[in-house]
Amino acid sequence: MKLSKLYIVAVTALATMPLASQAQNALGGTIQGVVRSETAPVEGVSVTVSGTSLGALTRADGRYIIANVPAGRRSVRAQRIGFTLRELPVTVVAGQSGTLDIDMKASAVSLDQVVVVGYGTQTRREVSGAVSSVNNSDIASMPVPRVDEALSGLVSGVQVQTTNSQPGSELRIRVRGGNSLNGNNEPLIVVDGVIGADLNQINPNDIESVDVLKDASSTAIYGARAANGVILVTTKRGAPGPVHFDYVGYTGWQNVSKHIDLLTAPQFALLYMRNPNHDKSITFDTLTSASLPTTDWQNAVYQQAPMQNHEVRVSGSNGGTSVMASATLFQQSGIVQQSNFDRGTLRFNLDQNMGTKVKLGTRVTYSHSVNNATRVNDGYGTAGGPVTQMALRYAPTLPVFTADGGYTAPLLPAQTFDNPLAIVNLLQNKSTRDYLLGNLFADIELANQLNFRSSVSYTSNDGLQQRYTSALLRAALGSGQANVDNSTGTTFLSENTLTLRRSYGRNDFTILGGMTAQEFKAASSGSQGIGFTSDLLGYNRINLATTVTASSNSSRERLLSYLSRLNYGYAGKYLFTATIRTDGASKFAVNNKWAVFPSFGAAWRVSDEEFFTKHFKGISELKLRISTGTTGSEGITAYQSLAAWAIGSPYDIGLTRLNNGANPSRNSNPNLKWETTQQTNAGFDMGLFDNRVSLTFDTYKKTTRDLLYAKLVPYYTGYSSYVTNIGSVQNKGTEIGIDTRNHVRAVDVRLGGNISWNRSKVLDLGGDKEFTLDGVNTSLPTFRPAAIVRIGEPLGNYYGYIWDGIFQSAAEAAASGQAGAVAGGMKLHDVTGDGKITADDRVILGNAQPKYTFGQSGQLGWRAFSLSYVLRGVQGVSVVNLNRQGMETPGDNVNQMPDVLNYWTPTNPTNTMTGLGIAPFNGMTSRWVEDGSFVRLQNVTLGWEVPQSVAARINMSNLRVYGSAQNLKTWTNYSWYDPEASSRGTSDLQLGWDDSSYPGVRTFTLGLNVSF
Amino acid sequence: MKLKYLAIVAAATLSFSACKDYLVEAPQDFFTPANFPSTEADLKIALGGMDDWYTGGANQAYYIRGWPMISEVPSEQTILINNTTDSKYEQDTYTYNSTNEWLFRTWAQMYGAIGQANLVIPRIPTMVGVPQDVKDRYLGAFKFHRALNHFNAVRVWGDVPLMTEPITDFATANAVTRTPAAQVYAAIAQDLEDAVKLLPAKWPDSATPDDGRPTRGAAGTMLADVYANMSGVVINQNKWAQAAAAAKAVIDSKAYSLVPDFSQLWLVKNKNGPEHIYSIQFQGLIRNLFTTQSRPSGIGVESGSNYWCSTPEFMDTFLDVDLRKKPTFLTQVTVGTSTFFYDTRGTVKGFGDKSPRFARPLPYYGKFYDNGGQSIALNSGRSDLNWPVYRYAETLLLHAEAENEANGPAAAYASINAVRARAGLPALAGLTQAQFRDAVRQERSWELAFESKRLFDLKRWGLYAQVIGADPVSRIGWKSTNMWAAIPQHELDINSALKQNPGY
Repeated sequence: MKLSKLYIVAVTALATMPLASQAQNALGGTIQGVVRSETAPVEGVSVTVSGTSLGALTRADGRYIIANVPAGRRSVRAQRIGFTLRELPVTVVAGQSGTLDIDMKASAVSLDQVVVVGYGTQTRREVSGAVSSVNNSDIASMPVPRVDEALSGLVSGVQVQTTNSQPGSELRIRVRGGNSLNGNNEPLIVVDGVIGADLNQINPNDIESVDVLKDASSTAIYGARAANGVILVTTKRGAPGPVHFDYVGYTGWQNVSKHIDLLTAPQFALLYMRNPNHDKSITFDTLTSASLPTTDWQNAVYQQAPMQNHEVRVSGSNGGTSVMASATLFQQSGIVQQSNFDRGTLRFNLDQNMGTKVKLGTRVTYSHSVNNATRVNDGYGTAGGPVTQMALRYAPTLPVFTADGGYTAPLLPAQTFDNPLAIVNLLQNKSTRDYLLGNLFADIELANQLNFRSSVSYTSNDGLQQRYTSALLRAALGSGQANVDNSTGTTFLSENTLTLRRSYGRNDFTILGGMTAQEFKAASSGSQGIGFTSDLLGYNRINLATTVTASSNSSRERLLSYLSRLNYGYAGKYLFTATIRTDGASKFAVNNKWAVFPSFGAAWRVSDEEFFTKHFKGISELKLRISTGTTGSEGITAYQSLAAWAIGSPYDIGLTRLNNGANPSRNSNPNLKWETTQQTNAGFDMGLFDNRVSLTFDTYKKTTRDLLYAKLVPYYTGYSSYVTNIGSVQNKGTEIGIDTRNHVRAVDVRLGGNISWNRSKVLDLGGDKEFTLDGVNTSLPTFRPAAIVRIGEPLGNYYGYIWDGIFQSAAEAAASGQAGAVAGGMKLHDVTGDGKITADDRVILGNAQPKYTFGQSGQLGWRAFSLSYVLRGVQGVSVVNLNRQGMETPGDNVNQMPDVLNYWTPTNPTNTMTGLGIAPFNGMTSRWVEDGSFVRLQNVTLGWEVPQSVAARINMSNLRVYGSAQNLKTWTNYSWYDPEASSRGTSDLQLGWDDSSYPGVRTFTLGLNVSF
Repeated sequence: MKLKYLAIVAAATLSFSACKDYLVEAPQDFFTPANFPSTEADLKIALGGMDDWYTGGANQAYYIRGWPMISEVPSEQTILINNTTDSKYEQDTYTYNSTNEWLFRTWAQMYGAIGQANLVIPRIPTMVGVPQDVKDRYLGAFKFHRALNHFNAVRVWGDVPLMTEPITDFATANAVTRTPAAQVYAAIAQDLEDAVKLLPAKWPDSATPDDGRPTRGAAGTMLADVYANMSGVVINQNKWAQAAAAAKAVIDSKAYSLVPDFSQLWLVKNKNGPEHIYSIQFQGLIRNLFTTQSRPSGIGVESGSNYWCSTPEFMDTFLDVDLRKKPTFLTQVTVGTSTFFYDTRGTVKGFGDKSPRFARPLPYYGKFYDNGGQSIALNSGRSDLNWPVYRYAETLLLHAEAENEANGPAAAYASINAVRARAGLPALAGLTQAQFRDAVRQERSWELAFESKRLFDLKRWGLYAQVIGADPVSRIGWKSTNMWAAIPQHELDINSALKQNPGY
């Protein structure tokens, strides 16, 4: 399978080899010149000859040269992001070379910039919806494996959160907050028109631009999957001009961004012995324990981890062909030993004109990635613990290894803990992924301004996960365990659209109509081997196990859609957009398979009105926008409307073990349907001072109805939940983006910023007032329910008791009406005032959704030097630090926070720490809720362009070196590693629980870009 | 416009609209209630699946350890060694509230099993092409499971929802209220009366009466137990005659006998022996956790979690001549060449001296110590021992008790004396009805120690407050309202029509 995919990529590459040796056109002339802005040369400007496919990119000295231009009067276009487009006439004489120098004007917003809007493109001038764009040049120097990670802090209304810093982990992205209760609030990813592509498998530097569709007018063309916003990713096509080669590479180092201070071994031993209830099988001699050496388990498992990226790229155009091909190797080690993410990608993008009426193209990428993960957010309780938990809790008095070289066992034999280094070394969890995304499209001009576009794409996503747990680890249940799981997924997408453009006088129409069909098939199989007689072969030979069981799964989903869009403009001033998409999905119930998603948007370019230009001279651009529409969200996996008996539970008949037991797993819901989000948006785009300053403002209100949710039901029904459409959630917010371009003497200054407020509110829960959520992925089952969804409140609320200090006496404890109360124990607040602590005393303790987020970025250019930075802030958010819950029992047998040294005694009547041997209250309390607000210096990059004269001497047309730092500094009051960590995943309801998360990572890189 | 382009457009557009069934969804890797169960083989795996509620490892609940956690640990015969205030401690000391994990975990799995039975029970009579005897025994088996779980629930919580129909819509199901205990008992008795008629003495493909599937003997013994409970102070209906008859029927079936040597009963190799009537099956990767958590730590490869002990006071009630005393209590262990004692004899630390809050050294569970020759460390601290729900000794004692209550001791001696004879105790004779009552109660306490019987016996005998209220460990948090455990908060949070028991 893997080989065949490589073969496809290789063959397509070979088929275009003639590109490099195009026949020379002896009849043409040459155009050359220098592109400058305020006397400084501008690199990377695309200079093209209109009506031909000829063109070139300017080099670092601003110079370009276009050969073989057919003689006659020609029009030359020069464009680059950040500059106003120029179009100049030139006369070309056969056999001669003419000079055309071009002067370009910097602008914060370029009205002629192409914006990808879904099934088409528009210029920024024409857009009537809320669409934000990020160009490759803004993010190219960031050492990130995924393009969306680089968007962090750059786009208003978009929150990008690293909830798990382990290499290869998913990100959490929200466009204008989360609508859905069911968990999937991730935006729709569309790569070169292919819906649902995986950004983990796409080389970020292959990407030319990212456009984020935010309001309903722009997203509704994606109908049933657009409610969470749409991120349109466009990969690079062949650059104008002759073929050139680039090398892009960087190498870097990652470090743990923070070290948690804990008790030293002498402190630990002393408190342990002072704890009257300590386990007597272990004794420390308090006289000599002061000299006990301390093992820092964090240092034992965390490391300085390298990362590197190497990329070779071929890009160019000639005749009717343009091509971009790249090969990239990305390698990232994790700061926890033995974790890493390696990925190789190949890309081949081809555009070919077949005569004047037909254009063909392909976008093909193949990626192979290997992810070795360590045990994080998993293995809680009796399974030995996540490595990140054990690195903090394992007793500091123990050495890493025993005298005979084995891993030191936990302090007490009954402790269900694994030695942190043993977890790292004895547990393998390797995921291999082969990903092919191929897209073939044709654009046919059927008649004047009537185009038919047909696109067929195929995605293949094959995964292999291999896990091995040595018998020496708790999770292996004493016998060594291997799991080998295969998965294969294919997506077939066919899209056919017709686009008609017509102008009647000052009336401009663009009409789009089309239909698409998509099919997803998934199958997986897994085998589990238990009882390995040796660790030597690991998961490679599961036959070694005494018991092997297997399982398999299969599913299919289909979507069928019809879409249409009308753009109408009058005199370029009054712009209207109307869209309708009708979607049918197999996974919804018989009664509700189809839904219609309409939208409408209007914009008024006020600055094109005569009265305006007369009176508001400083305002170079003003466009008012308004839109409304509905979009949908699927939110569930296939078959959720059907009742099910699941197969595969183990049972015994006498001494015979059978593994095909059946259990009812789901009740039917014949009315299951889409979630529907109604969104209204109003905003404006403003350009000031000749567009050197651009300002974008949007305010919106989204209301989502028919929420898909696995609603909890009483256990006495025999089920724990069922998927249904209940209730409604609202998101309201405001976004402001600002961008400026300026020159201060010789320094080119670009400053930008954005700020976004979003607040979600639950409007209706299908008759309920509230419901609580069971925690997942945690060592603390008694912390359920600890999250609550309640009408009138935002999503992501923490729920529990208010901590009211420490019981100072046995009498106070006895009178408290609190179960298990003792002197020196945690005192809870009696909210109801009924004299006892009951479930009714629980209240909302905080929220995981920030009040507002902001980003501020800057780019400074001076001669050959450039400096850029991104600063990012998240404010008004709280985090539950469950780590402390297990590490604040003074004198306990796991390592503790240093603040336990101030333990309560009758003579030390503190209200902040319990007494010796007294654990915190066994349930959720305000004690663990911390302020998670922060400001982070996300990226700083300093670059130097090696002078042309030097570069040319070593046969390079371009040479740039840079140093970059990612996550350099975070200002926060949060006491643990990283306030963005979320151990219970990315869902909006379970966000913000930090229970032994992977530490935050700081990265330094050195990079090199070379062009030949 | 060229014709060939038109053809391309038309073909591309129409190719998908043509498939009318494009969006129809057909299950690929699961059954639905519309097609399952339909055959005998289906019934076998549906019945097999019931085990998952009892032994499914995900939540360690129910018979892995959730059930004894809420039915044995709160009794005065089992105590928790350490006093870390966690959910186990809460059960031991009656300091738990409605969010205690063992309450909701076990409740959820009881009702999961009931729900599964409710899906199958109405379907079996409608099945086509399945022989009547097959239908009968499976119907009996599912009714047995429904009864067992309602019986467990009603003894722990008192009034509980009585669930006897498949769930059709959750809106209705979410508004269910608690059924009075007497009504729950009536439904349990009816299910078991049916099951006794429907079930075989032994499954046709089984070598032993007990192979983990319900049998007529299991249903009959449970029926006797249910009637005994209905006759107790809680329900206060006189069903002693029915209880005696149900037990007598099992005895008369001659399907079971006492294992001559009490200590042999508790060996892994003797699982599903002649005395076992109904046992939850554990082996391989599905192992019992509760039974091994009463092992001392610090005894090398045989070290356990050091959670549960019994009490010296309870051990003292055993006569020294009682052959059950030694197998019931673990007071010394030999591991390799070292012998460890439960008290301070000898020099080895780590066994018996880790209970600073108790004046006297604590004996551990002896009954559940055997692990089939495999060290407990290799079994990851878990055991292959089955959990005994019913064994023949209890049938005999139920018969003795019920016969005495219904008709006086005359016809009850044979049953109790069979149990006593095996224990090496002299036969009883010439007792009054009240003396016999005391004797059979004492016998149950000895014979069935640590088997999750004691707490319910105390409740039905009306001795609960007297005994538990006087227990120094229980008394830490005990109130008389603790007779009925807290309904899990999860249920109350969702269904406000469900009322909590008093005192929580």
